[in-house]
Amino acid sequence: MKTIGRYLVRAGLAIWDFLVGDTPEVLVVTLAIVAITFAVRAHNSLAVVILPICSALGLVAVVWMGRARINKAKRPN
Amino acid sequence: MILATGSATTTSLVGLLIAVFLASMVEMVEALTIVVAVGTTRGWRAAFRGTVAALVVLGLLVGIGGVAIVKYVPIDTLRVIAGTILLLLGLSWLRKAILRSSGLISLHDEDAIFRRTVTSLSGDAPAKTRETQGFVVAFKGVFVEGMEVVIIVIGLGASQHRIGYAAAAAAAAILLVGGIGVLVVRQLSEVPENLLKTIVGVMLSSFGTFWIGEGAGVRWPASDASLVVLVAGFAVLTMLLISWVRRAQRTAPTAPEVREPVAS
Repeated sequence: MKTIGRYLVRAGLAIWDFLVGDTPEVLVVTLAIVAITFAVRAHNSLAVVILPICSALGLVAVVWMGRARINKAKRPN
Repeated sequence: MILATGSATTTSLVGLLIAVFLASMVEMVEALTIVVAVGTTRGWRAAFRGTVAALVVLGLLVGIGGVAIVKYVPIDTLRVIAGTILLLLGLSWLRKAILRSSGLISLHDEDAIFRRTVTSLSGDAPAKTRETQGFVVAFKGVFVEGMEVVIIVIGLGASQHRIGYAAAAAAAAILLVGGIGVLVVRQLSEVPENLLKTIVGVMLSSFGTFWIGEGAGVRWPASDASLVVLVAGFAVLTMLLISWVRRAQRTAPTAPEVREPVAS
């Protein structure tokens, strides 16, 4: 039982690392897009415009944050 | 609905096949690098056995996991979950591809991976240990790279109830890359991996956005044909972002590019 638990924890960590890794902002952005979609789904004509715009803004945001993080890492202390 | 006949259905099927095929190709090029490194240092038998074992396990995951998911998870829930995972992967792939294209992080270097693997396997050891190590490294390489393909096959295939088509596209890519690998007996460092990654990122992000909407009950204008608009939009945005990051880096104080730890 203990061994199975250990394997499950390891598998969970591996999946987390695989899907999220060192870029948790991508997960946050994706979940925000899902939440916004559910918030506006009752208004179809609004949703079909908002959802692609949110995805596009999400991409801009993760690239922006990625660039900022790398530049920060490069900067001498 | 996706099960409707006509050009809309063809659009999503063609998109699915292209996305899965290219994604599998990218991952299998990376796996082949490790397999060839094992083959040249620890013998081809160990490399072949490790590869086949990993492919069998990955096939079982698609067969058992995919079919069970399609059978037991309600279609709208499945589409939201699959769409979320596809969008997550798509944004991650695009982020990395854009930062690489603009020179901010270094390109994925198959030659460096090949050299690293060969060095790690070059020590002396008894014949049996050498073969076991070769098997393990080949298995791990193919399995780890293949897991992303499994997720994409299940995500894209299950959301359209087309696991079979998705698996066939992945198998075709594996056979193609494997066949070329056998012919040239070398890792495919000439493959424009970042370009392929960009294309797949665009497609995964588009499919992800589309399926999240469908699963949430949003009805897209022109049904599946909206995918074409989404793909075009993401492609244009990606090009704009590459050009923006390049320009921004030229004006920023420069420093050597960094090497990100890359699993994919």
